[in-house]
Amino acid sequence: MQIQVHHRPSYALAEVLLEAEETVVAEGGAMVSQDTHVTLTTSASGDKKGGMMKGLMKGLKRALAGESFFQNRFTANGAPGHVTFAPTMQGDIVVHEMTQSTVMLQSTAYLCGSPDIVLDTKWGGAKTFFGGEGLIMLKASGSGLLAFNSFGAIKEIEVDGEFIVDTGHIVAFEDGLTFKVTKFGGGWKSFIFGGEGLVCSFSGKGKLWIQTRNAAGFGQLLGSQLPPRD
Amino acid sequence: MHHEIKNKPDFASLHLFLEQGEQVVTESGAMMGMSTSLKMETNMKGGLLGAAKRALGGESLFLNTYTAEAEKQRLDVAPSTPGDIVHLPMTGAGVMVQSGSYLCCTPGVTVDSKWGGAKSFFGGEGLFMLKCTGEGDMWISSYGAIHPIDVQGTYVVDTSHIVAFDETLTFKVRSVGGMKSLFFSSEGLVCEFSGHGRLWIQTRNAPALAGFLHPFRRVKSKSN
Amino acid sequence: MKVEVESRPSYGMAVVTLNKGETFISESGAMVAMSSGLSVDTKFNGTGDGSFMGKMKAILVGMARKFLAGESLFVNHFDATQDGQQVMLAPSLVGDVEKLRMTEGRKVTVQATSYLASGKNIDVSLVWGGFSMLFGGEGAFFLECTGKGPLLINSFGAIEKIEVTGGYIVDTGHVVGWEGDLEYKIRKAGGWKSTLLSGEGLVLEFTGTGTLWLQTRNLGSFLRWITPQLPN
Repeated sequence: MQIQVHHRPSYALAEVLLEAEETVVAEGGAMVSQDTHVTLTTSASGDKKGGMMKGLMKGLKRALAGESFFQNRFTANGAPGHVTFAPTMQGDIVVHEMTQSTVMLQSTAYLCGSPDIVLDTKWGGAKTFFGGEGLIMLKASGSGLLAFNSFGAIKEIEVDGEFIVDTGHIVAFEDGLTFKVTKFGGGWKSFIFGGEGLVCSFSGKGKLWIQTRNAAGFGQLLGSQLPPRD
Repeated sequence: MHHEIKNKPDFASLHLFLEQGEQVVTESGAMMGMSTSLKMETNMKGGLLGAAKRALGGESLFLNTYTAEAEKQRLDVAPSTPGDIVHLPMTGAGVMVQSGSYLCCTPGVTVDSKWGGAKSFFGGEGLFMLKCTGEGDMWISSYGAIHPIDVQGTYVVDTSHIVAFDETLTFKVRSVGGMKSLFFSSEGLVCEFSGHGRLWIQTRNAPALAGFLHPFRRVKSKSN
Repeated sequence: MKVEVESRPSYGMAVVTLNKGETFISESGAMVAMSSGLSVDTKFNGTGDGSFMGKMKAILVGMARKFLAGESLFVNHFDATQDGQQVMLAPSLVGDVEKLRMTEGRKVTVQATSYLASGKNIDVSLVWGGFSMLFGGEGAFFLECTGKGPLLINSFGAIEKIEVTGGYIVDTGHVVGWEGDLEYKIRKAGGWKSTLLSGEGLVLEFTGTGTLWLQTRNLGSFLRWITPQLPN
């Protein structure tokens, strides 16, 4: 499998090139276009070891995470084929090669990847980052290619020491970093009026991917100017 | 007239430079800036019925015609959607354009909303395909980047990502994967193209953005 | 102090590097990431030596709060307690960020929603544009910026710079800012029929010589485009 990314960083499109009979797993609703002989099967399981029930449970958890309920599996039948994916929001896509490694991924950042990569929504730190905004951090482990997306451009930062990031701007980070989620500015005044909410202080050594826009901030700004809903 | 497209594909803008007497037609609301000797007229192109049909298509009711009344007049054009602009030279062969993607054209290009397959693409979205023919220049816009595809045989595209395609391609709209997949897979309608021709797709889709923004809207108060 | 802008023009983000004792000011909500050696203080719209509203009558301050709904009246002051401290700043809307180097005698006027951040010696005052501007639908407040040092402005869409010599007409929703010897007049785009039907509404006609910064998208048009597609 190869994944090529076009139109970075503004409206990135991931083009997955599959060998014959190879499968790629993607979040529901992400498919843009495909060769006719690539077939879609929908599976609730992100883990090839699970049976139907176990798969459904994983799907439910991902739904709670703000990620679509189901993942789709696309397989090239009989010949190599291609299928393209795009995320919901405008922004960037990065393809990260995993080799028996683990990456923490903001729930709406998952786009597509090798079937051997397992997504876990239940690990200890999953809910600490976003203060109940409906987002959680997924834990992705395994080997293969993982494509994740952002709102805005993706900037890769090599953390060596300490670095602070507004939680709405976190896309992903490597397992080796330790983190602590706190209020912005350390005091109540900045927390309420500073406009930032929660920030995450990373320490150690490892890769961190941040995005140059914040989807919740964008949504709130526009939402307040759209007609009200029922 | 010469043109320049800048800021592609992010927030593409079209800059037109007209000589005296030259004209260009744009969708309403697309003017960003202009020189002082350009005359703007608003018309319902294609007559009342045509305009009404375009309104149903999500395209605005009216088109603006700009005429240069002096030398070297400049018109800056921008679409409503964040995304790309592409120039299509029109040489007689037809191009189908998604109604929300029509931006601008020279007067020799005809835009028809009444052709047979117009409404079959988008389910209930209120969009349809315009048939553009004639000779001259046309500019189309998108939500997202425009990704061109050379179809040789068959190809499948999610309908909310279609911007435009050559009329030489035949198409069939269907739901993806069968019943179970439609329910669970979050993919709705797809269009299967066959033949030889160019297809332009956009790398983002409006229904996904609308779905994202919806929870951020204020809730209507219950009291009257 | 070093100020660089990355990811232009789609998702512009400013990367500011400060040495011990240096300060940078940004609108609230703009912090993306920062080094741990920066101390933060949140102030009520104070920049430079004055506040945003310093030159305005009290009654207009109330209107400012209403019309600047998207613009917070609080700013964050970032003070470096060590050398080499970085803060990354970005606006909420998608689009561009431009850095202007302000010097003695230079005055730049920008849309109120276009202010992102500035150095300590930049003075930003909120100015009322007049009642006719309200009907342009884009807000009637401008910010006049003077002083010395870096000024960061943002836009919806990409920023296009146009040199005006004589005159130029601009859709009000596409104006980011201007400087120079320019006068402006707000008027209808065409005749009454055109104004109602053309989708253009009001335009600003500039006369004189100067520089105009335009943005290649219009927030009002964007909202009108997405609104019919919202679920009910």
